[in-house]
Amino acid sequence: MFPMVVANHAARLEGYSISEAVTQPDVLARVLYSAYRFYGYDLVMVFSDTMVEAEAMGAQVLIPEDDDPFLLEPPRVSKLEPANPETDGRMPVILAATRRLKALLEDEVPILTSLKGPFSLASFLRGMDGFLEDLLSDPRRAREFLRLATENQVVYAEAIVKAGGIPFIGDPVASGSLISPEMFREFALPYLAQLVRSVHQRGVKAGLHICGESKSILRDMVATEADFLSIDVMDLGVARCEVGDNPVLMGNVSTGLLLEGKPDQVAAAATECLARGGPRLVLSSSCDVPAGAPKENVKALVEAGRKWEAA
Amino acid sequence: MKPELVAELARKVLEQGLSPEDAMTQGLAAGMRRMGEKFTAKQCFVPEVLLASKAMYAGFDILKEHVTGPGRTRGRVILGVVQGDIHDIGKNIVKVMVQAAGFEVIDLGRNVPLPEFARAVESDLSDRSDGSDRSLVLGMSSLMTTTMPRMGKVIDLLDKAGLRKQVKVIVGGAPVTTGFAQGIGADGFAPDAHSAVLEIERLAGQGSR
Repeated sequence: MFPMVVANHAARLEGYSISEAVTQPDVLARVLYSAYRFYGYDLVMVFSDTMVEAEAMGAQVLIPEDDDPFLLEPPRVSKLEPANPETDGRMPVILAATRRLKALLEDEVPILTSLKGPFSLASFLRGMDGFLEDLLSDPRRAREFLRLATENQVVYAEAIVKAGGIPFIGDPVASGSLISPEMFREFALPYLAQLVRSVHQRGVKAGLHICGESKSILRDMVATEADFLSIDVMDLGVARCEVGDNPVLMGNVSTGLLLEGKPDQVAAAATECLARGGPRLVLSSSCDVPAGAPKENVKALVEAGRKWEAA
Repeated sequence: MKPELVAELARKVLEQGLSPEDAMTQGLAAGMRRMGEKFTAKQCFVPEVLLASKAMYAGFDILKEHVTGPGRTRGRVILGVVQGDIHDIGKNIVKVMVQAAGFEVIDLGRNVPLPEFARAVESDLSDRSDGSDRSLVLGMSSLMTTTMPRMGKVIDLLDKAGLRKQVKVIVGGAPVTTGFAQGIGADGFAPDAHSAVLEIERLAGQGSR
């Protein structure tokens, strides 16, 4: 099991500010490692924020003292180019933290390193409203951004693999809450599939997480051929019926519950996920664990998972 | 429909001497309302709504200067996404739906510093020298659990400034729940854009259409 504890929650846990964790590789690796030891879950995820790649490609990103970084302005250059993951923006921070964790953990648990799906990255590079409008009014332009984003992510994924991470693709904007299944198939799926294929060619598995409503796009998430699918909002029993026995699913104790609920409610929700998700389920949170979620709630998720394994 | 086409039709309305106000309410706003219903029913999605709203504004921009007499506003709504949060697609959709429902919107944008909400409320209330008693609703949204609590801080600021009783507050955004809204002392909550319009109509004391 793995509640998606990432930079922000881990930083709070260890007394660092979020800005320290998302800019300093040693701090990022240290807080993720400590959180892993503290909670005792079965995976580690290197994820700082959604803006890493867009920033490396020239977007203006604000990194608040103790909050998640966010996009101020898309890149304003005449010709966008793919970034160099070893030198540009904070991509080297993510890669260095991945290497550090690999050195610390060796093969104790898998290390997932997060990167953005091409659809989301394209939307940050173009500006989100403009990109979503382009899908209807200027699809050729949308595809240019998608191709560029894919090109960037293929190179980044390769660097992640070399650093010892398993690429975990998060595509929050390609959400069933924002776009139609038809649009997902046309503008998200082909580029995701290309990215997953490039990872498979290196003999490594790839994960996929899409935020929001998942039911309408679940079959297309399977079609990306990602090896494990993290489900945000959807009943896991229904999801299991849809995808069959084989795909590994991750999910999906509500992050709202983790933030505001009581430990016994979290435990009950976790057990329900385990009962409905079938044997090939990684018990997890529906999206990343909120920075301010009480540790008792995260612990309750982990304990519910352990209890289930023991039974 | 394409924004350019709507602009062309709006100019035709003026050329032919039709009522710009009717074209706005029975044409553009009515079309936008239908998009809102489709959006709620998941028959269309964000890109379609964004494009439709662009089309609506293209028409509005041409027609509004030609509306004579006092505009029939149903009240004023101040909207904004709290500081630290730049997810404003939801807010923009609420904005266009609320305008289509006949309200005047003051859009503070995204990543809005908390005191700015209180200032906007204060300046709207003090701008009532015309004796207007139009209703005032403040709508705030946050799409991140990290920024959610800031909506409560804005309500505290309104309280401290003695403005809280003169404005209705509605909150929304993906992680926001009814329980959270009540907890921070908001008057209303809406899980989606369509409900937001209904809730704002209720809060503005005008019922639904």
